[in-house]
Amino acid sequence: MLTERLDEARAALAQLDKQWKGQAACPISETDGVMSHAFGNVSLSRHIGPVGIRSVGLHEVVCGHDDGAASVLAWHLAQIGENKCETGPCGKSVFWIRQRRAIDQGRFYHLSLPDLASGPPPLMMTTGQQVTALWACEEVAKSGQVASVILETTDYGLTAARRLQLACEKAGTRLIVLRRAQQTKRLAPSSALTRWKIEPSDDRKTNSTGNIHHLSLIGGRGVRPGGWRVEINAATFSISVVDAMEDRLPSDHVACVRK
Amino acid sequence: MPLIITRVDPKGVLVCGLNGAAYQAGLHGAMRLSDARSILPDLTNISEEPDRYQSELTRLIQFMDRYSPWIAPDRMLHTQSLQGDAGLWLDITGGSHLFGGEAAMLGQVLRDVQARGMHARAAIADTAGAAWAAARCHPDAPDQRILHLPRDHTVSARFPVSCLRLTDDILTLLSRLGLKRLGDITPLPRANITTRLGPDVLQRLDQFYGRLPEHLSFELPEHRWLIGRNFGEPLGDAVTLVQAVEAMMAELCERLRRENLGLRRVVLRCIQVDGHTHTIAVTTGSPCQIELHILRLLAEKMPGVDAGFGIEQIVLYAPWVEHVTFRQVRLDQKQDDSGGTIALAQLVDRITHHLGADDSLFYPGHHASYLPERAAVRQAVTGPVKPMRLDNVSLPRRPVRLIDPPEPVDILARSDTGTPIRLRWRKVVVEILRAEGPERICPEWWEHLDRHDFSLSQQTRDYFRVCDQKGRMLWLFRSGSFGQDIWSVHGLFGG
Repeated sequence: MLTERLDEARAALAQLDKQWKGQAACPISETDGVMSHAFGNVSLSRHIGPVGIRSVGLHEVVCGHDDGAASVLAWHLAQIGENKCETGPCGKSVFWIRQRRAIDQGRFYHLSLPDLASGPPPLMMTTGQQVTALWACEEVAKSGQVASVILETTDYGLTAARRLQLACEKAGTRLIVLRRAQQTKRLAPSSALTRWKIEPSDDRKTNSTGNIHHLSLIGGRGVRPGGWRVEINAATFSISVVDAMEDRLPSDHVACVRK
Repeated sequence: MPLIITRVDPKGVLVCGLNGAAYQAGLHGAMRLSDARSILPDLTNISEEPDRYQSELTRLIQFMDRYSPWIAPDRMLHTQSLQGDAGLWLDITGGSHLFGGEAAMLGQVLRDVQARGMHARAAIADTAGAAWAAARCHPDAPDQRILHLPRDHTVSARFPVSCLRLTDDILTLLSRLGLKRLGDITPLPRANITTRLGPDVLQRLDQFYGRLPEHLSFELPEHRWLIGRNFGEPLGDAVTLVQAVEAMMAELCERLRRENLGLRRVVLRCIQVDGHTHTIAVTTGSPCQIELHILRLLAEKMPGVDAGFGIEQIVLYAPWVEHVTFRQVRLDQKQDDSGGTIALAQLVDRITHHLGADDSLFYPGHHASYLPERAAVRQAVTGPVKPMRLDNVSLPRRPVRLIDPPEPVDILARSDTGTPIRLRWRKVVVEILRAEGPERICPEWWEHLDRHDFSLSQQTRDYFRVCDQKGRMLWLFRSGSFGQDIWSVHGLFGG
């Protein structure tokens, strides 16, 4: 008797759940592993493509002068679509892998994050070897047990990048790689879907609060390079586009890509 | 009341055991019953019961299982000795810290054995031979007989040669030659020892100092989660070894599944024909009964196992098992939803076993402290996870990246208020355009109550958020006394 009532209650709950999903207005749509709105501005779509940033695959953030802003960007990319869409990988955590001395401006300080009591805490790993970091990254990406992986590492080869990309595609994981730009300003080749760079704005008039940055899309597969002026919201750890910078890259980035 | 136990021997009826009263009266083991009766006519005599002795020995081994599962009785002495000096070897490698260290463990063993009505001598040493000798010949107090070689070489040099467990003939020969202590033998040329005294002396000496392995025949306790396999034909290659381990692991996991248990720790011991032993221990973060996962963890360490001349015995033992709790986590699901949790735990296990000593995997945690470097703590990935931030502690804005330890900077110019307007950090001149602050963080004085020279003002920090000419937001702090202040960079804000 009790079992039958429990079955009825489960069925009713499932029906209610289905109805709620149908009516829920999802602010970020995700179809076939693609998220259309990343930074709250449609001008990005013209560069990334009509469908937006792919949620499954390898994305790179190249660190410049400000590793803090690069870390915020990496976290923002890892969190896009998280806990907001029923079809997304809700309830899974972020796995942050840090290779010591890969980024010399300190370590990620988790108490700077906004209150994430509702979500699972991120898993963090620290290692001294790049081999171990890449192995762990591939293992985590293949497992599909985390929503996103953030990897801080030094330069790595095209073969390693391709392996990571395949691992992400295997289990539907998003991987954000924080890598330091080389002294020569020439970026190593990579199979990343998108490659970003963020630098603080040195315009003293517009950047009076210190949270205005230049976001550059410097490469990737099927993307058109571009630049935007963005604002970092420290309270929510998010980035939003203020205006497009004439849809072009700074001159040094153009030279870098042409090389 | 004097009491002795006798054994019928070709030499006659001999004493093989006696109580304290008989010992006080001057009796000893191996003496004839007739001699003993001449000393104590009203002596009580009972015959030896080998079966009862064996059952008592088994019970004692089960009792000693609490210290180590690897217990080897001294079989030759147990069967032949009439002096009552038989003993047990316990392999306590890696387990003494559970009892508070080696000395504490030794004391605990002696107390427990005494509580069972037995008198015992015990010692801890690096090798089985050294432990055997130290238990009988170490000059220190009974609960402090710990011999570390070669540090305690002077102590061991004073041990009599009888501690090498040699036959009576060799001991007599050594005595005639005037070689009475280990220190007398060790300086001699090895070739001469073998030529004059035979190979046994050198072999025992090498076993004493750990230059040769000693094969102990461990008495496997009757444990539910222990599987032992003896191979008539020793396993000579890695493939057959892996196959044997797979079969044993499948059997162990099947047993665990029947009891709804999962193992948290498993020990694999491979014993070669020449006495070399390889031990692999694997610990899981949660109760696991999936043999593929355990085998994958073992496979990381299996290449280190050298079959050598062949492996004749494999022991698989799960000393730590726990109940597996399956629970229904959602009302609309009949089955448990623990698949994802198990998969994540297995992932954590794989990564943890792969990491080196300097690597770490952790959940970030929050300690109730205002000092930035103390506030961020690491939580173990196994066990309950606390929230990443404490609810009852409100923190002001913190940097995205923390530079730990803080990096001192050279102040090149200051403003009227004393804050820097130009500084040198990492050999680069930084122009400060704007500064916000200060946020004062005092040191935790209650942590330094034992220090007489502790100064609160010296370690108080005034934090500033400064914006440089490149647009970066740095987290600077000032410490030290007035006029001798030290400025350091402690982090970077993302924006």
